[in-house]
Amino acid sequence: MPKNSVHNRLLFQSLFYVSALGLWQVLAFAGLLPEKLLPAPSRILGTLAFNAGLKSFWMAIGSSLMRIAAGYSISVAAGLAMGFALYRFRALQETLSSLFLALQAFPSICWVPVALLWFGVNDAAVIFVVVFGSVFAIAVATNQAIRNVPPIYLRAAATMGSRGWHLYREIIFPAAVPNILYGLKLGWSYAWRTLIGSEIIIAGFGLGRLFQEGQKAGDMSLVFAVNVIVLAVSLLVDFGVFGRIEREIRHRWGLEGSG
Amino acid sequence: MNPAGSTSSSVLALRDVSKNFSTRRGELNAVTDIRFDVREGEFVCVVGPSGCGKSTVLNLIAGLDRPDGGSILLDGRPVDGPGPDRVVVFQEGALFPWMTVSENVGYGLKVQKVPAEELDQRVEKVLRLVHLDRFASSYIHELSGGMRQRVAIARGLVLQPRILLMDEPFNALDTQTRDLLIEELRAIHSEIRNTVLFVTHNVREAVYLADRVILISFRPGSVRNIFKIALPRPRDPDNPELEAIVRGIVGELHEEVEKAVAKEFGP
Ligand SMILES: Nc1ncnc2c1ncn2[C@@H]1O[C@H](COP(=O)(O)OP(=O)(O)O)[C@@H](O)[C@H]1O
Ligand SMILES: [Mg+2]
Repeated sequence: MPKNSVHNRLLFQSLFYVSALGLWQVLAFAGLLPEKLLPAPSRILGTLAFNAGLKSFWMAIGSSLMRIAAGYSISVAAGLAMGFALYRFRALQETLSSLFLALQAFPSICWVPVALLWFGVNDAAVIFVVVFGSVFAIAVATNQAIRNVPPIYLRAAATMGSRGWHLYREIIFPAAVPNILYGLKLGWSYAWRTLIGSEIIIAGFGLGRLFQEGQKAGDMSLVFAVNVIVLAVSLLVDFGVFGRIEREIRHRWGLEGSG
Repeated sequence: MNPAGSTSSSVLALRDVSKNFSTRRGELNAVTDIRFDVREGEFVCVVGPSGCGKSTVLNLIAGLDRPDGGSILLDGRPVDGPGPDRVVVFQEGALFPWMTVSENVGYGLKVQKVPAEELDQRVEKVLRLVHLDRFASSYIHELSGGMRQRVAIARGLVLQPRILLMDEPFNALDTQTRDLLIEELRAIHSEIRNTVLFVTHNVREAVYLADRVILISFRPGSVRNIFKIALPRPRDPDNPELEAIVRGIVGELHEEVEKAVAKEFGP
């Protein structure tokens, strides 16, 4: 895609969002929106600014980020290992792959009662739910990605003498990386949703606690302010982390312009 | 010659090799009683109608597949699985897109744990041989089709295989590029005198390159005839003698193609 049209698209997008926010602001200003239920963007911004001065606000964000980091890392490590194990051992493929597929679609919030009974109300419970909410998506996608590696790569590597561990590390894994990345991205969005969901249900934790506070106090601007934080983290990870890696891979493989 | 018909200098020997595939329409006897030798430094071409089992034979030699009967000997020892002494150059799409040109070419050496310094030297040398030294750090998608096949050839040559197996490596190329690569392949062979088994369906190409041309019959695939090409090198593609040999082989090939058409489309 020519650079110019990328710029134009960015310009168009920002124009759209700025005018939508502007309209919202004007409507709120004109008193056309119920302030208690839908506070003006300026008020939400004000609440954010105010909270940014509070240590407890940053502690809440920090503790949520710690839990997602722990939960997601475990999911990635375990998911990749499970995906490879399924490929490597036929018996596992035949028995576990359908179970994993089902668990991937299983509503992760259903793990909350299990977690509470096993671990009690603590970090471990939240992390457990996050892991179980995302690990199966990563495992299934990894397994698919490896199974879809074009056989010609394996044949070519074999005639050059590659086998065993070397074949996995140097050929199968890198050949599968573009599709594995898709699984990691899916797993991330599952993990993040599950974290916020379980923090709200279990309460007293991180961003979930802030939601609770806003709700109890009937402070809709706080609720929206926390939403802004949740959205910001989603965007940051999606575009800042995954987007970057994806661009790098597409560039290297020459996949630009093919989707 | 010993009773099996092989000479002491034969690198590769196929003895009554056969291979069946089970398909939905039943058992398919793809090749049968395949028997030929390839000697040290020889350039041997295999021609035959499409579907006669050329790739099947090549895969058996490469060890990517196992024969159902007969034996395949490399330097007198039975072939057991794939290995770097019998590298295959495939038709297309076998280069690794996540590696640069030099990483692709160095991969086989890395598998063999060749020290980094020696690896770099050998990769550089072979890239110069195929005129790609300027593209060492390019990714595969940045190369033209002809350049990609040169990488594929370099990737095979760098391992100094006992025999280089090539399965219609220039099929996906336009005629001009194809002619260029054939010329390069000829020049490389005359320089390093490596042993090559080259599958093609282009008889002219085969006669231009080969010491011997093996014609495979259609279903079951079997050696129908072996033509010795005694013309001096470098050969002139317009030489009437070469023309005559090509015509002779094409005549026999057409009989096999007609058999193939009758079997595929007949009653
Ligand atoms: N893996 C396979 N399974 C079933 N049939 C196969 C397989 N590989 C090749 N064949 C069949 O064997 C015959 C020879 O194939 P091949 O060696 O690819 O021919 P060629 O390379 O000469 O065109 C064909 O009829 C083909 O359909
Ligand atoms: Mg073929």
